[in-house]
Parts: sequence; structure tokens; C-alpha cells
Amino acid sequence: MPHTGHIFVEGALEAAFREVGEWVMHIGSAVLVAVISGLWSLWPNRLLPPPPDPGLPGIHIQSRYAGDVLTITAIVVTLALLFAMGWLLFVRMHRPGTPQEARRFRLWWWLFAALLLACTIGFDAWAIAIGPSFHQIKALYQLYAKSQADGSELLLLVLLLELSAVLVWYVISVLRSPPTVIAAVPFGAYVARLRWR
Amino acid sequence: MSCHVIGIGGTGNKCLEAVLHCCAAGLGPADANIAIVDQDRANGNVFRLRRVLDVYRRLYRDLHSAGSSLGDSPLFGTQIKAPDDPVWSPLPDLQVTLEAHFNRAGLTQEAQLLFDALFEEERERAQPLDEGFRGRPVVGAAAMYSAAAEGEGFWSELFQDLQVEGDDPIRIVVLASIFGGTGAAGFPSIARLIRKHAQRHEVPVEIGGILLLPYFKFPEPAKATGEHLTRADDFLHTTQQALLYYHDLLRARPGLFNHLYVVGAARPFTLPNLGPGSNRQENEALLPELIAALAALHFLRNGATADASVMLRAGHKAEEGPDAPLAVEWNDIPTVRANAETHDARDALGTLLRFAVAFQSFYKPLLIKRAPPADIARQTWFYRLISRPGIQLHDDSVQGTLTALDGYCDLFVSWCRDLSRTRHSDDLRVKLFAFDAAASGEHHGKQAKRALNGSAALFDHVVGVPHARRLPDMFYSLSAERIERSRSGLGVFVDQLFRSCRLEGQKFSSWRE
Repeated sequence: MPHTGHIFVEGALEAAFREVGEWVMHIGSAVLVAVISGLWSLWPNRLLPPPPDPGLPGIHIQSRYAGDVLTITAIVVTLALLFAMGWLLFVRMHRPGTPQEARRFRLWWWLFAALLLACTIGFDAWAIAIGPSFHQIKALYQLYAKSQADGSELLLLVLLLELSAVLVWYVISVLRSPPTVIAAVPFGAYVARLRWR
Repeated sequence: MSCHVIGIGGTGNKCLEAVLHCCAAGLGPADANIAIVDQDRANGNVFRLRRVLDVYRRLYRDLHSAGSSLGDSPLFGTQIKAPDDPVWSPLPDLQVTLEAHFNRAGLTQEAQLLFDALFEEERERAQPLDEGFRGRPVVGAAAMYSAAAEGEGFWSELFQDLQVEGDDPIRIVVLASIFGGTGAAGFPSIARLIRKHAQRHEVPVEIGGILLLPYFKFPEPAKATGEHLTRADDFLHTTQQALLYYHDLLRARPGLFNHLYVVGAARPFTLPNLGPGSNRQENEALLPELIAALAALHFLRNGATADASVMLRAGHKAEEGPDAPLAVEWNDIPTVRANAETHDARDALGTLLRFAVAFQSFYKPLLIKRAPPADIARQTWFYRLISRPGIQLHDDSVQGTLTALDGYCDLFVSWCRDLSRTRHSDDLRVKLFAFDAAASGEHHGKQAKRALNGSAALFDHVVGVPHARRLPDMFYSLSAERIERSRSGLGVFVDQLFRSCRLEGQKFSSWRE
């Protein structure tokens, strides 16, 4: 029986659904990894004591600012998640065909990481200088800055936020990068040895 | 089952080269004995064949040893056996003539008259035969039949095989041209000798004959040299005479060949005139030699059929349209397996060519004669295929094997390139391997370096299949696909690279695990 048009349409649809299905699966598993690592990264509000606010009694400080610390962390982690998704998309669109091409991905990984770092620090600077229109984030930063003379509390907050962002970025890129580029991720080669033996 | 492949004369040797490449690609039997029959031992074609044979056997030995095993990989899957000196010359002495060989001066007067009657031309009797029989099959047949009876060279091995009783038939393939001297002389003579010996010892033997009709031509030399050279214009006449003789012979002895494959070209390919023989005569590979090799492997795999009237026919299917240019494509090439689901010859040779391109362009620079950079040594493929199997790249034996593999890849790539090259506007175009992609580097990003770009384009497009796997798919397979258990040492890397270079199959997205 000769082929008819609708057979080609069915074939094309099947191929499209398969492709979409794979993408959904990949994105889904990447999001899962991101959520797990993100939840794991929401620690600044546990590590950092709430800033001293002379206008409020201690019990109220805890309840007021803990939520704000969590919000800042969630924003930074979401930024890292977006970068990680961008990285996965990038390695999907530019698949290396040779070891020589794969070497270049190390530079790309560091570029992504540096951009992420710049964006998160930029967010901190923006929040301190201008402040977002939601929550009391600007006030929170300022309270941390004033809490000690040398500003070490604020530095600790920023460092913990960076650590959360880097952790999310690293965990996703090391667990979800394909075997051809995983060696571009620092220590990724050791993870690869466990996964692709 | 024992298999023997005998190539006779220049064309037979070129077909043997094609057989070796097909065996390297995994199309051959588990083992095969190879014999080269050529009166002109210093012939360039013999030299080229010996190079391929030597490097093949070296690689088989290195990659099937205790320290490094390819296991049951199709790559170099045929164990090629050959005597230490694989070339058998019927008349090995220097400046030997037919007169001297038969000691005409010492014959009785009646015998001398008979000798002169059989070889009435002076040049047949007195021409030095160091460089072959120069298109005189009668001379060759006499010399070959008498010399073969002495049982030297590959004959001793073959005669031994033909004395071992067993139920499995011994399969023997004889490859020769009908239009030359050595091939036309040896083709029926050697088959008759083998058949006679097998019948004497009651050993089951199946003989397949691959006969090549004129398939190339070359221009006349610019000036006469005085030597009795083979001329392309003589080919048709020689072929006609030989076919008449073979016709009578096969009618008189219908069972001489179990299968007879006849290969030719309606439009002969053009080759340069390289002179009368010796090392000048190293002809480029041509399509009919590949078809002859596939016929030989078809016979070795499938053997003789009970129905003697079966006619297997393969030929060129013209492209549609009266003005469409004639071109031979993979659809025109016969397969080796009788009921192959896909085109096994295309898949095997295409995979081997992609393997050669990938190895030479991307992996050889990282593995031969230098320690790989740290960022390469960290990569997943390197750990799985080089570090983990314990390969010491500074080891001389490892470097020797890699260098031999590089040498084989050189020979194979140039053989494929020769097959697909159009030398003359009148020649039939052969569109099996597309090397033009390498020159232009088309289909790839402009940013890539030209050489790398060209190699990548060559890898992707050298064999046209509908859903070809690209270079990134290959690299993914190399890095992540399961390693076969029976591989060890350098065999792990070599087999994984070969399997990853397959033309079709699963493609990989970068997120798949």
C-alpha cells in the first residue's frame, strides 16, 4: 500500500511528542535536583542571628526578619537555578563532538559561574542601595551593616547567599551535565567516574 | 570451516586488498588464509597489498593478545593467516624465460618440436618473466601448472588442509582478471589443481571463482619502448579468447567452480599508464575490486547452493530521467549476507571509514607520542577507555600498536578516496564516499578551525544515510555507552570508538543518561 500524507503527519507528531517528552523529563529531573539542592541551601536564616533592632523586642525581631532572610535566599537560589538551566540548555544546543571541543566547555562553565556571582552580588548591592518594593529587605541589610562596627555580619550574610547560589549552580551542573562535558565542571570528572563506568 | 582466498595477478592482488579492508570492517569469516600469486614480486600492487596485509596482521596480533583484546568485535574480526612470504611466484628465478624453465635445450628433438608448436612466437619462449607474463596467459598457464605441482609456498598449507578429512567443506575463493597474463593463466589452472587434489583425498571442497572482465583502460605510452607491454586495446581480444576457452572448460568440467561471479564495467575506468610492471605499477583502487571482494565474502559466508542454476545479479540502477548523470550508489552495491536487513557492506565500510577519520583527526593527536593534557585526561572517555583499563601510553608496545593503527587508517582512507574519485569525464561516477565535504568544511560552524571543521564535516557526511549519527552522537557513545565485557587493554578504546562511529542507531541528546 502506498504511503499517504497522514502517515507522515503521524510520524512527525510521534517524533515531536517523543522529543517534547524527553525535554519534559530532562527539565523535570533538573528542577527536582534544583529544588532539593535549593531547600538544602536555605540555611542563612538558621546560621545568622536576626539583626538587633532597637525599635522591637527580641521575640518580634526573630519573627519579622527570619522570613525576610528566607526571601533573599530564595531569590538568589532562583537566580542560580536559572543559570543552571541556561547551562544545560547551552550544552544541549552546542554538543561537543570531540575531546578538543569539550575542553572549551571549562571556560564556558567558569564564565557562567562568574556571571552568576556577578548577578548575585549585583542583587545584594541593588538591594542595599535602592531596595526592592517588597518586604523589608533594604532595612534588613542596613540593620546587619550597623550591627557590628566592621560590617562582618553583613559580609557573612552576603557570603552565605553566594554559597547558596554556588551550591545550587554546582549541584545541578555536576549532576545534570552530559558525560561529554562533565569534566569541564570542577571535580566533575570524579562524579563521572561513579556514573559512567 | 577453513577458508582460503587466493588472488592471482595484479587485479587479483587489488581485489585481495579490498577483501582485507572488508575483513577489517567486520564483513569477513572468523579466519581466512590469504595467498598472493604473482610472477612480478616487485610489482607496486603487490607491495601495496603486502603493506596492508602486514599492518592488518600486526593489529590483529596486538589487539587479540592477552594484554589487549577486541573480543568478538567485528573490527579486525577475521584472523588472516598467510605464509611468512605470502607471495608465490611460479618462476622465482631472475631473468627466467619459459625456455629456461622447461630446459628446452635438454629436451628430445620431438619434445622441442612440440614445445615450439605450443609456443610458436619467439617472445613467448625467450621473454624474461620477472615482471609477469605480460598479457600472455598461455605462457603463464604452462609455467603455473608445472610450478604448482612442486607444492611450495602457500600450496603446502593448502594441500595440508585438503588432506584433513571432515564434514565441513573447505571454501576456497580464487580472484583473477580474465584480460591479463598471470590472472587469466592462473584462474582455471589453480582451480583445477585444487579440485584434483581434493578429489584424490576425498575432501569436501567448495570453490568460488571471481572473474573480472576488463574494467579499466589506460592511454598508450607516448613513445615506443621496445618492451612487450600490455596494451589496453588488447584487453577485449584477450578477454574474448579467454572466455571461449573458459566456456569450453566449464562445459567439459561443469563442477570446477561451485559459484562463478563475473564482474565488469560497461564503461571502463581510466587509469594512468604506469609502465610495464615492477614497482611502477601501483594502480589506484577501483569499484569493481570492491564488488569482487564482496562477492568473495558472499561465497565464504553463504557457500555453494544446491541449485546450480541460481543466478545472482547485481548491477547499476540508472537514476531517473534521461539526462540524469550515471552514478553508482550504495543501492547498486551487493550485500554480503544473503538476507541482510540493512546494507551490511555500506554500514561496515562506512563505520570503518568514520572510525579512521575520527581516530586520525581527533584521537591520534592526543594519544600518540605525547602525554595527554591534564584536562583531556580528566574527560570521561579517557578515564573509561584509557586510564581504567590500565593503558600506559608511554609504553613502546602501546605506541607501536597506535602507530600501526594510524598506518592502517592511512591506507584505508586513501583506498576509499580512490574508489570514489572521478579521474576522467567519461568515467562512471562512484558516489559511495563523499570526500568533498572535508575540503569545504560545509555544514559546520564558521568559527571552527578549518582542519577540524573539515574533519567533522567529513565524519558526518562521508556516507549518506537518512538518519546518520553525527560527531556529537559518536562522542556521547564513546563517553557513556556500555563497554563490552570481553574487551581489555587497548581493545577497549579501539572497539568503543569503532562501535560509536556506526552510521545509524540511537542518537543522544546531551541530557540523556
